[in-house]
Amino acid sequence: MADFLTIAAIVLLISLLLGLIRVWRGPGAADRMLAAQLFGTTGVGIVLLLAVITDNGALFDIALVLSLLAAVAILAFVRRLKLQQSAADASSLSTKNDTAANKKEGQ
Amino acid sequence: MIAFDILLGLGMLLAAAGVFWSADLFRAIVMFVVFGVLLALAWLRLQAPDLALAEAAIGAGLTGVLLLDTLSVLRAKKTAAGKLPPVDQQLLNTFTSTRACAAQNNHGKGHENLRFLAVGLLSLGILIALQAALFMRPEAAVNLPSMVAEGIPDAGIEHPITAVLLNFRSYDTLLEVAVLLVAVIIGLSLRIPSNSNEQQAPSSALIGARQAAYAGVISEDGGNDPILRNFTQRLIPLVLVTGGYILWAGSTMPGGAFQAGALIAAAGVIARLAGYNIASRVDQLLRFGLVLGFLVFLTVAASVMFGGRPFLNYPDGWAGSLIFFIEAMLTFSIGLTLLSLFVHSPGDGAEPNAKSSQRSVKSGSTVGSDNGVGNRPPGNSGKAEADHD
Amino acid sequence: MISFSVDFWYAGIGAALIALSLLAFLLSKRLLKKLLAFNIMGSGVFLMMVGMAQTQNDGAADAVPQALVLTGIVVAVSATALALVVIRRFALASVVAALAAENKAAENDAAENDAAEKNGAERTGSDTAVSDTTVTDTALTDPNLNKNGDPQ
Repeated sequence: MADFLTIAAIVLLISLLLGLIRVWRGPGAADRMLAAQLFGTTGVGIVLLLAVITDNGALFDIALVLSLLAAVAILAFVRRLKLQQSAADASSLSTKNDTAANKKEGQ
Repeated sequence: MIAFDILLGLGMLLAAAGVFWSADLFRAIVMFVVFGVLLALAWLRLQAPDLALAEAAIGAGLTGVLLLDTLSVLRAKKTAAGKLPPVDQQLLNTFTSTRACAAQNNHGKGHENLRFLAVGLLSLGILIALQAALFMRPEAAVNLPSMVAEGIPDAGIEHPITAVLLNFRSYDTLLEVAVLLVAVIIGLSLRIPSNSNEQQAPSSALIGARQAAYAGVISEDGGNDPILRNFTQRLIPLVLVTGGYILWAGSTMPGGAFQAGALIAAAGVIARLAGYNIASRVDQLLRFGLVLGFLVFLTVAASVMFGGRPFLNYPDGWAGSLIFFIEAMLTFSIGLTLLSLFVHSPGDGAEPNAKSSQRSVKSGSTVGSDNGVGNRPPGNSGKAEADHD
Repeated sequence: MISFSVDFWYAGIGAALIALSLLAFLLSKRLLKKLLAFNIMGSGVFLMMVGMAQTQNDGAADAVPQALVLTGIVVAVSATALALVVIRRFALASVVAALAAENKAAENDAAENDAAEKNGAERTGSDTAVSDTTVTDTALTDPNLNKNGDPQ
């Protein structure tokens, strides 16, 4: 049984390394980010397999923390996308401010 | 399992190389997050579940978010600066794109090659020296694991790593908390204050307006997105409860103040990313919380001296409860420290400051018109700093 | 030595990571990249510390280096967060400084000021880290600068 679990862990690790290729090649930011999420979920799977192989119940906590915090990176990514959108909107605002300031300076 | 170790080690090297070789900073940061996950797995293989826990919370979670957010703030500034004079664009490019560097390096290509050669030789030498040190390692002079095992019954705590951190080597931990405090003090004093237009050049109005424009870019993300809000409302309680559990678990199994503190900080970061501006509403409490852990630790460490014991030597029978008390306070402080380094970093959460700055610019005074944001402590603190200066 | 030791293998990986990130740290021009390299170098040191200590103890888990590394991880993350604060502040400050210089140049005699700035640029424009933020004239007039280096 342990042998089978070891093989399963190795297979999961190989799928992680394939995910590394996706992170490297992209092509879009979303592809990279989703590959990183794959690392989070597959990492949880490997940690759980290692917990059963080494018969160490404490490792379940690590899987718990990893699964909770792997989701956080997505939040930062979404915020980044929103920033890019609002930055595009704000460039008009900045020019408005510039002209206002220039006018004030001219006085 | 050997195949697993070999693959994991090579994967770590590949991920690190990916971080270094990618010209795109976003890709480098994603590679770094991936490296963090692989490193957490490596700690598991090294029988260090505590370190795996810390790495999962910090390396794979918190640091990645911090880096991504910094990159997005820098890039947002660059996009907003699209219509600004080339000076701005050049400067922002320096932080985010390769081309600016290439432009600056085109003087002296041979010089660059020489530098590459020297650094390459240095790295190779260090690699050889480290590997040689590994192969020619001496025998262990002291058997630390058995010493730890002997001390555990008197340590008041069952988990060896927590015992080392807060009993056998508590001096280190005390100083570490002091280091964290110093870091956060520096971080807080580097905030963009609302009086950054104080250069009182005739152009201050222009600068203030442009800064407000930059700040406006990043203040646009409210908590209006329903998906984001719902996701956050479910995630934050889970993270906080897990943090409490990890703290509690630290006395018998992997866990403890640092990992729990990282989780608390992560909860705050999630809230901030979703647009809740918690930290700036409780500024005074936050400042108190930052020093709380260190103060409690130092008080406990010093007060045992009244009983004729050496510094940091817990009284018999009290060690367990004292350690847990210190740990709980440390968790709170570490969480707040990491959070405020994130939340108060320049260019983040600057809505009230930016607005007051803009207003004060228009009214012509340095920090006037603070009344509108009187219930926002950062505005007040900015004013205090201005008065102090 | 012939038999495979997990601790020894990861200590070796740690050594390789240190060398690799030293290379990247010294060669990289960008501050964020340097910060990433610094972080990975720290991870390499941590791997070596734990791996080497446990190799000496025949693979038994050793709580002392692990606790020290745990301390190190927390200090490293706070150092990283602080460095990010400094980088953000640096980015903003250099924009403000450039704007101030630009305005001054517009007000004062333009030719005089240009000459002074050129001198300044030449003085600090060597290949030290300072050149990361120095505005050189060649860079300013480069039309390619406005393009985003980001492929996406």
